[in-house]
Amino acid sequence: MTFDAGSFRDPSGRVLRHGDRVLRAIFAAGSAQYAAAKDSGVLDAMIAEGWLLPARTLEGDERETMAPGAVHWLEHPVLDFVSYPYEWCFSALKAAALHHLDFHIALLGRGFTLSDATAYNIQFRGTEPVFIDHLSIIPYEEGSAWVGQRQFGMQFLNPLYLWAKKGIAPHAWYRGSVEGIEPEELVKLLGLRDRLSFTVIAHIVGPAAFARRRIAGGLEAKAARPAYLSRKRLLAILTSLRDYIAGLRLPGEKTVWDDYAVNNSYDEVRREAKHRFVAEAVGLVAPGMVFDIGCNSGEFSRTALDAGARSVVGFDFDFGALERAFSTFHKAKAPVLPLWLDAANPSPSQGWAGCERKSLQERASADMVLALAVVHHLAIAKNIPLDMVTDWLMGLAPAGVIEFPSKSDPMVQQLLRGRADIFPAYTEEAFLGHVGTRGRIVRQDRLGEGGRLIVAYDRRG
Amino acid sequence: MKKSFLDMVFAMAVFSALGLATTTPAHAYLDGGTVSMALQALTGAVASVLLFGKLYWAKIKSIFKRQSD
Repeated sequence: MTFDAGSFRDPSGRVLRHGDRVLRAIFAAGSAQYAAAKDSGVLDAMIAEGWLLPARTLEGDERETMAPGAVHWLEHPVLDFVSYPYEWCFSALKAAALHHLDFHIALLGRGFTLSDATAYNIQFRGTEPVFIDHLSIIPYEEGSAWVGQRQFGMQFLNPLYLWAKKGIAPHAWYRGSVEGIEPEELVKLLGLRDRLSFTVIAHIVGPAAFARRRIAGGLEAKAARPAYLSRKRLLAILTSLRDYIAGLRLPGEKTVWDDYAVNNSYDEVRREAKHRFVAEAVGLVAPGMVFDIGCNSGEFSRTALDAGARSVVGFDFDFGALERAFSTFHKAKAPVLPLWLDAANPSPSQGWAGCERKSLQERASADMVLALAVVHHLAIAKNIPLDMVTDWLMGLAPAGVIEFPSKSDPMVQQLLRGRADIFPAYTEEAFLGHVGTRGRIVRQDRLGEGGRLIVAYDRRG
Repeated sequence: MKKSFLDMVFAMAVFSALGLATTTPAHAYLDGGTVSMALQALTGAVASVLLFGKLYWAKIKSIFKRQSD
């Protein structure tokens, strides 16, 4: 049994991993609020509608020793993959923001509210957001403020605003700060025109000015006059914010790989061969979750699903491709979650004590990995030695498929153009050697005559 | 045009109110993290008016649309 390293800020409870189960201990500080929510039926109603992660109440006290002082115990279904907002594409962050607001509005209709607005309380099942923190749901008191406003701004609105209105993907900033983008910082990027919007004034400029004044006032600050926010007005704030976010769009830029899926050097025969190889390899492994590294718009994620994979988490560096993948799998309601990844700099372990948010490696619980048209981007474009690339990829899952484009491949030629070829060790023989020393080569093939080498490996005996 | 004008009016209203908004009780550690209740109350008032206006506008539009059909 271990406490989840990311669950400790709220004294009302903590999440624990117990074997392969996920449990939640509720302490005295949160027990009355939890009981109120449970007894009102709001939790069950929200679970039934798919807004909230299911929870089963556990009876008996044999768990007392696991978390002394726990009053109630819940068990949650295990999510295939826990992702973080700095890994989401625009549509995912937007869907999470809308989910949070819609959920809050629905709760208010039943006399409950949310005690915070952290984006880390939203997770994805496929492309569907779900709220995961049952202890954030507390009874609503008439007249009370929206306590999560600043957090919602930092973790949802401000990154979305930066992306949609300034064309800057927020990932480096968001990942660096972990808690999102402060309005005091964002406001410095706003011009006069940007400020002529009710939402910008109410949720970015206003809170920034307030925070500055508050810090400047220091200990001498005057006490606040009591203010009252009616439920109707709180709902109006949430609804107007919802409308604003629903209207945010990405600037219509074409990204580097945007048309890769339909406009690359592959001919149909080779593409077919690759699909066949992937489908057969997936069929043999019969995986639960699959990582698709360099998923592009998800063509082979789809093949993995069709071949029997339970779910896929796709990773790509290109936001345009991720948007298309997100939209495709959202429409199809398929269990594929496309996430942003710079494979040369994957999400680190960070936050409090360096482990509040886990690294990609620590969350890599995939049964199988697909790495199609990836190796050359790391080995050639990023100068990462081939054995280290192979090591990293094979370390992500016990079984997988890796494609190896040789130096004569047009895509590799493109990467080598205008630079010295300092990669004498980048050969098919060397690649097969690296895979062979780290696992068993189950199958190897060539995609069409004279085409790329493709290999299926298995590390398990 | 109409919308940005309205936005400007509200912007001025909120800005002038911002000057009036006082701070919450001071704590030993200041993180600027707490929300301004006064600002929220004002935001709520303006948002209510805007939403009401939006619904009203939609209603008027639908009447004209019906007439022109």
